[in-house]
Amino acid sequence: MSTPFQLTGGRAGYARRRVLDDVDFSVGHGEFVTVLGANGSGKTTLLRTLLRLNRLDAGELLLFGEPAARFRGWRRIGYVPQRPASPGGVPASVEEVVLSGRVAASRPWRAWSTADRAAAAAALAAVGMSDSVGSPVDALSGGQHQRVLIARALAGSPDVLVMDEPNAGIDADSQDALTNALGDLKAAGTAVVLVAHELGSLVELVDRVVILAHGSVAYDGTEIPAELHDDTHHHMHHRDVADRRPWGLT
Amino acid sequence: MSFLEPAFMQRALIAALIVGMTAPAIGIFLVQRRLALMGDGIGHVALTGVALGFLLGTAPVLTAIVLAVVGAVAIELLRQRGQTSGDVALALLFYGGIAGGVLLIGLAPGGSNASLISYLFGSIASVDRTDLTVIAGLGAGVLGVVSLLRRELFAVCHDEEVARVSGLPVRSLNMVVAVTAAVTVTVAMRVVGLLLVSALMVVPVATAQLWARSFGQTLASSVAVGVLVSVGGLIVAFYVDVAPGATIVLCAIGVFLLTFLATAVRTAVAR
Repeated sequence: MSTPFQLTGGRAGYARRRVLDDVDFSVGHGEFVTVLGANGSGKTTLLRTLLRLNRLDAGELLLFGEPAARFRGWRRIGYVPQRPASPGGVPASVEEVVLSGRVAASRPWRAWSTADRAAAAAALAAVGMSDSVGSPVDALSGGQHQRVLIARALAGSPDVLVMDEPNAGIDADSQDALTNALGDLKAAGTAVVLVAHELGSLVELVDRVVILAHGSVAYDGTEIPAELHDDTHHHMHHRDVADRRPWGLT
Repeated sequence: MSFLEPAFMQRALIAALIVGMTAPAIGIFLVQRRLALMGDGIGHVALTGVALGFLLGTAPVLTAIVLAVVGAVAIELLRQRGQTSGDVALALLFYGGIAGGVLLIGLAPGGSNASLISYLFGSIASVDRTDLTVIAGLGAGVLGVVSLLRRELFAVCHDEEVARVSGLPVRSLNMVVAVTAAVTVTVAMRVVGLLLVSALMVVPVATAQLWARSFGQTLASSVAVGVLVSVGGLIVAFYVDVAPGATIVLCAIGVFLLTFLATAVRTAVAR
């Protein structure tokens, strides 16, 4: 199995502002990687660069072993953005939003197949939202909405899931559902790249932590900063990480 | 006299039915992308096309379609490249379209601003068999595109970045929406006029949005509202002897206000 993401010497930014500089970042097959860092450290820019939503100004990006410009296997990547969908206020049901994650994987010019609907139902079950299948997404809480966006990404059966702060400001039920769903995914061999401010119960799932500071990788390893997880869950490396506060974690 | 008796009314009713179906069917994707005024922008550019038709001595509908498609593609390219925001691009189309129309009609032999009036405000009663064939053909094309690409267009309009990451041809699909909207504007031009065409693309969708719970419901009910107000407005205009285009648009706004009140009362009672 090839590596989902491999960025070498990555440089990226917006207009005249450079956000990432000489970043090496990789995610292995089935690996659960968390990207941490202060506001403005370049976490979201890194994700967007990996997904080719931002231009890579210098460096090399391989997606599943292929140069990004030639990569066509986008179905293997599931993306969960931070912002809510439905910009124009046109109502959409939970099922419609989740099924839209199947569009690229399903046959064109046709109605949804039984397999598409089954995949959407399974994705909703994975995030504990099966009861809301017919609800309008605008009627959901922030955490429930986030779970629907995760289900949309899961509906396409990706090999890697890329998530931008999926646990920011969500309720306890949604936090538990998120941890369970990601735990199941990890067990099934799906790789996860997750940008976060705090990990909470997700800390148990993390294989590797990458910390960005001022657009560069300040740390890449298996230690988890103590201030990012609940001490009742995890005790390792407490002192090591406390010493690294100058990285600028908030 | 029954409204079904005159031949011109029979043709007008068929034209109204087609426009009532097609305008909201593509309008829903514009509303979803917060480009509700795009129909207006395209309509203004189509006016330049109409004047160009007079100037060149060709059918104004043909030149209107060409200019409308060019305008819609231009606005989409400007938006995609992020060189200007969507509303500034629309403003450029508004001003350039009207100015171009007025300038060119002045150059056309025997042309005057009065020649543009029937295109600005519609002239459904003068739709002949040829017009009807063109309207039916283009309308079928618009409905075909919407029904065949509905899932893809929903995905792109609902969340463009996620659609791009999933590998959908987002730029091409956005172009499909823009070109289909341009064709719809020229189809609806004879019925409600270029200045009012966007109302039929937006108001039925806004009405359905008030109560629908899903995209499918919104699409189906906005098409139903579009047909109701187009055909109903035309019949009212026939009996009261007023301008059909304006009556259709005012009927659409009336249905919106009634639906707004009904949903407000329902919400209050539910509390």
